Amino acid sequence: MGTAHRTGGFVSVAGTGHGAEPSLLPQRLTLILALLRPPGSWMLRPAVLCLAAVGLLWPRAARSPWLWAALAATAASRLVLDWPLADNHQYLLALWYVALALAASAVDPAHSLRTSARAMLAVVFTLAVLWKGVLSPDYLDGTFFRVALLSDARFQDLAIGLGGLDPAAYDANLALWDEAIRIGRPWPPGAVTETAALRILALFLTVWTLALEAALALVLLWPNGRAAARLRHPLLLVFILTTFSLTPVAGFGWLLAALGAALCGPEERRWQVLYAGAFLAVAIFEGWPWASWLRDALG
Amino acid sequence: MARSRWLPLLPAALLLLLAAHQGWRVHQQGLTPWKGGGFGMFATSDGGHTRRLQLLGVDAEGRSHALELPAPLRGAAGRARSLPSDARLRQLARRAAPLVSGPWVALRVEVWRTRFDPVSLTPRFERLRAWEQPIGRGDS
Repeated sequence: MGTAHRTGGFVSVAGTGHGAEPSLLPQRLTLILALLRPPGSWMLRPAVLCLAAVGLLWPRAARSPWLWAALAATAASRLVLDWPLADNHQYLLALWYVALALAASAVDPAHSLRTSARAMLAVVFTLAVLWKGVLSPDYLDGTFFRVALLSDARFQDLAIGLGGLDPAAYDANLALWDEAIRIGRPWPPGAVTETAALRILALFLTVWTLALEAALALVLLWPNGRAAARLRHPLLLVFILTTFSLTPVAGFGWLLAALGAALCGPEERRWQVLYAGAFLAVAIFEGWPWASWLRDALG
Repeated sequence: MARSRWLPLLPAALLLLLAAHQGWRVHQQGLTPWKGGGFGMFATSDGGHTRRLQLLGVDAEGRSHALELPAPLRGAAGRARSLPSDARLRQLARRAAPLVSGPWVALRVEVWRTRFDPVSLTPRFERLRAWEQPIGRGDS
């Protein structure tokens, strides 16, 4: 029989694992992330690499709160060294290590981790929706993605491949852009080349991203046991696979996959396998220039 | 028992606290929403890359002249673009003082952000924050 836990609406069922050892997949994915993305600082790098290797090689170490507390301390040091300009997922990683340390010392580690993962993901997606839908002056009108497609190198292949922008026009836009920002003088009206396809693409990305993040925030905040709760895994997997195939922020994608794996109850092992697959897919996307292949194919 | 029930929510609560701090910095100190733990990335074009930092020399008549930013200060300037707090701008001006030559009585550091017209995308530049640092004997 399972034991119902209630934590301010964050309800889940624990102890239904039929005596099976709780999965260490969330911990393992987190440790692989630590190995793949160690801090740049020479003071912290060796410590993080050693701790991650120990955790991966000895499952007992991965169940120790001390290992996670030590990793949390290195992540906190990284934040302090760059305060407050670290990337957002570095904050999430530091607090995820805290969640892992708390879970390792809890009576029911899997339940504790599931509760932490769900609450953290709910906060992340709620904040993302708040910024895009309410606080930002230039998201809802599509300006952000139009600017990003035209001036952010990370979206260049997409702008050319799907936005139908001529590569020479893209380069000319970029030069105009750089000069305008550098000297603080606007370009004359109509100087920037923009295609109808690019505008449609920007509109699609604007709506898709906000809708997906809002849906995720909703299903993560929704009480357990309802139909909406069943949508958590498919939505989170779609978010990871679509977002991190376009944006080269693999560290964030891997972290979301680890949190997603932690979100799975004992009866949801197949979803855990899919999160492991998503983790792998993000790694593949990072080194696989599919967008430029698409650009060449369409060009 | 109650403690163990609520403890797993601690990381999320700290995440919310960080987000509140980030919101305060965005509002009060001009921090770009992309940074600071508030998850405002990919929500606005107001990032460090669309901001401009300008160093100006102020002469005895109060006229200001654009100066080239000394190369050793480029890293600090990049950080000041993302978070143009008074402390960072003051520190930058103080570090620039011994590196620039001219008849300046003060150095001014300005950070400008870019807004884009939602129809034509024509950029408009807004001065976000500025700091003027008198050049005295103790500053160089």
